[in-house]
Amino acid sequence: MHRIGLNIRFWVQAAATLLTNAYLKGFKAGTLYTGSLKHVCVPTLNCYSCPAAMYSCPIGALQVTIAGAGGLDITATQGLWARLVAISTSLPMLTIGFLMLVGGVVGRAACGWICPFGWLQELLNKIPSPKFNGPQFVKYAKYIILIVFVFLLPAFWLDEFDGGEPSFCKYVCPAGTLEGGLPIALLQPQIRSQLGWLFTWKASMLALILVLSVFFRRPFCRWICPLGAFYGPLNRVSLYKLEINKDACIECGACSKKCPVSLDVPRQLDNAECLRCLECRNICPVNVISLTGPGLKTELLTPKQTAEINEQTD
Amino acid sequence: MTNPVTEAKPVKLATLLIIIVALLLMFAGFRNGEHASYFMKAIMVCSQCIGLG
Ligand code: SF4
Ligand code: SF4
Ligand code: SF4
Repeated sequence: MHRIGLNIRFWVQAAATLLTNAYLKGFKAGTLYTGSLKHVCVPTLNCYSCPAAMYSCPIGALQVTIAGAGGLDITATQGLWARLVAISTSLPMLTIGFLMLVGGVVGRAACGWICPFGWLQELLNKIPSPKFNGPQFVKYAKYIILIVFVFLLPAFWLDEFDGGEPSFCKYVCPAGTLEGGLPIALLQPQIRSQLGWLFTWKASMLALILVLSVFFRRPFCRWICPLGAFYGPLNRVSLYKLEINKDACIECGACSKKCPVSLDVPRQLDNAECLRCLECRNICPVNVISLTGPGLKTELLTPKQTAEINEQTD
Repeated sequence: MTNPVTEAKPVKLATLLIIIVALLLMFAGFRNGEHASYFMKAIMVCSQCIGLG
């Protein structure tokens, strides 16, 4: 089977970043694109407040929809019928369905191939420096962030008008600060003059993530990103997935060294952290990792071929 | 090395269910006009995204 070259992923990431942020006029004018493409979400974290953004951000869309009709807090002050209507219009079915569809077909491949913020972290990690893996348990933080900041707070933390707000955008998202906050602050002096402690907090978060990216592989994707948390569990059941013939693996470690999220590939290939980037598959010297799914054939070694490899390496 | 043997894999029931539910949810959300609600947010500078509060 044709193996996708490593450099192709770099160019796909670059092209996706440009295509999803193609309204370059926005940088000049300090305004946003307001065309109908913004009815559509991209499958990655890409701030819709970026002057160049052409599409909507799915994590922003989830929060806005939940918070939009006064959140899901049925104890709020409206009458029962009005509340029920508000709740039914507040369920982010379109966005959840879209993310389930993407994750159900390709798992976390959008993270590995087209997310601008993921790509930026990978580029920063190329800066020569000591590299670390970080403690394993931190990866669970992103699930808590998804549940608390994307679903619960926008639904139940309401203001005096029974309106919720996008809490992940407001308190956490460094992609929003980089793609929206900083350019808007630079381009619009009247907004710049109003920025306060919240901007300082978010800019510090961004700076921390960018510095950490030099020493750790994709720290935001592995530890914080709610979109990664949404897609991750779908890796196990997605239509297209990676498989390894463990019997034929020669344990050379080349795959794990290359993995952009520091997985122990032979043992963790089916992991929720895998970005489906195919780097491990491309670098394996004995071709024991394969992409499977409809239209693709599983490349399985026969026991005889496995024995041949083992003999050669003994 | 000799060519590997190839074999097609059956699609799991869970995978099919997820994709069908996903499509149904998208249809229902679209009918609810969800895309219009986030469009309204996405065409104006979002004060939360940029750290204004
Ligand atoms: S996990 Fe990383 S690559 Fe995936 S959406 Fe989040 S920031 Fe992007
Ligand atoms: S590169 Fe291939 S052979 Fe080496 S450890 Fe990874 S899967 Fe096994
Ligand atoms: S396990 Fe392989 S496909 Fe998954 S992220 Fe690591 S290198 Fe990429």
